[in-house]
Amino acid sequence: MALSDATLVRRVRDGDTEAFRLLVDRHHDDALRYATHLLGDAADAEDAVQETFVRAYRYLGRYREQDRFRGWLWRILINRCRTLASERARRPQPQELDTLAQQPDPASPDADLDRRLLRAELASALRTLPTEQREAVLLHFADGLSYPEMAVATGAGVSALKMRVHRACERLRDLLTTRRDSATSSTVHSHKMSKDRDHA
Amino acid sequence: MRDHTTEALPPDLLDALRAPVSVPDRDRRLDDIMRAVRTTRPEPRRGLAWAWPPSLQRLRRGVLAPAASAIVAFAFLLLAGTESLSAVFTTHAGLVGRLEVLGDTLIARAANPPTTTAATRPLAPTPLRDTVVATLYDTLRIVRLALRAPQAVQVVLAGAIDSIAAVPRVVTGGRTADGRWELRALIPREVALSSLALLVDGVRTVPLRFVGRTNESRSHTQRPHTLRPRVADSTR
Repeated sequence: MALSDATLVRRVRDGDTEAFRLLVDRHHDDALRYATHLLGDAADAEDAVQETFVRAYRYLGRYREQDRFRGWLWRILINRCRTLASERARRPQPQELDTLAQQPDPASPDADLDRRLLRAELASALRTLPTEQREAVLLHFADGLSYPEMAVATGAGVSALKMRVHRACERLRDLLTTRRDSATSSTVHSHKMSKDRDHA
Repeated sequence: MRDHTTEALPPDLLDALRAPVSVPDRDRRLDDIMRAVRTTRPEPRRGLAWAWPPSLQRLRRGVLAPAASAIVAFAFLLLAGTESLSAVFTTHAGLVGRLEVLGDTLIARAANPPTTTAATRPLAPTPLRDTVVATLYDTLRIVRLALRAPQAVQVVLAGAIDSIAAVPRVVTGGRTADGRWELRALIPREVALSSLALLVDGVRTVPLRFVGRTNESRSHTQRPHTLRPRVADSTR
């Protein structure tokens, strides 16, 4: 049976540093997904996640057991991502990377291509959202946090967070619809051009 | 009014948002993190006094902390407004003493009373200097008063300044290893005659004269540097 976060935290506090590895193993992937979506850069996301776990270990004495460890960890992660984002705003923007691309699925290459395209579109659409809205929509939909949990993690009020999620959803839907429409029209256009060429 | 709690995204978009990010060589990444963790020293656990639940954090920051500051400030103003003031202060040298203001005269006393009387021990205190250490804005400055009195047990500062009730406001200092005593006082940088004195073991007085200088903008109104030593009442 897997040990709960609270038990592992208690062990770490008692001096068992290796128990922290289990916590890292448990939360690393979700933290990396959040940071990657938010920052849009794989290297920055890895830095943010590593720094988050180091800080969590350093300040574990401040963690109170009545809180959810994940919420507390996410508060550190959010702050770290905000800091990195503001630091990055002061330096030249990195080139766009397909950071969400995954290993191709040999069983169904078409479905895999669709998924990859959608992820690339989503990553691009997320980048156009204001940071606060991006944070809110990722915490709510990707990480499944409730609004009260999001309020604790971000320091914003519940009603403000609901509004951010609502606006982010509207904007994401609009952006993706526009992109798909333009992609469809360009496909139709190129198809028509190739047909004309064949006739000629 | 629209309910924003039921916001939803298309399922394919949700799947894309929730899809895990590929982590090539995941174990190595985790090892790197643990290597960084092992070199980190954890902060000691906080006591219960600091464990404010999140629901009270805003109350503490927004209401309790400002209210406590206001109460302290009010108490300080109440004390400062009285004719005779006795306040506890801490010096930079780690001494704890009592600061007394009697009318225009301020006497700083060390917490530890002298173990021997001055009458039983010969003393030859020598004033070294009175130096302006720093100027704070254009209204205050810190002066350092020093004397050599290796055998003294207690040296306190007394002073009076023209028409200024609570000066010097801050007294810090103590004894150095070579038998020197250094005290620092915060005095106004105005046209005023600051008369400060060092009381050695409460009996002998080493007057240190310090004439307030005008700042640059008031230099034309500067008084002549007449040194007018004024000894504290307790030594007369």
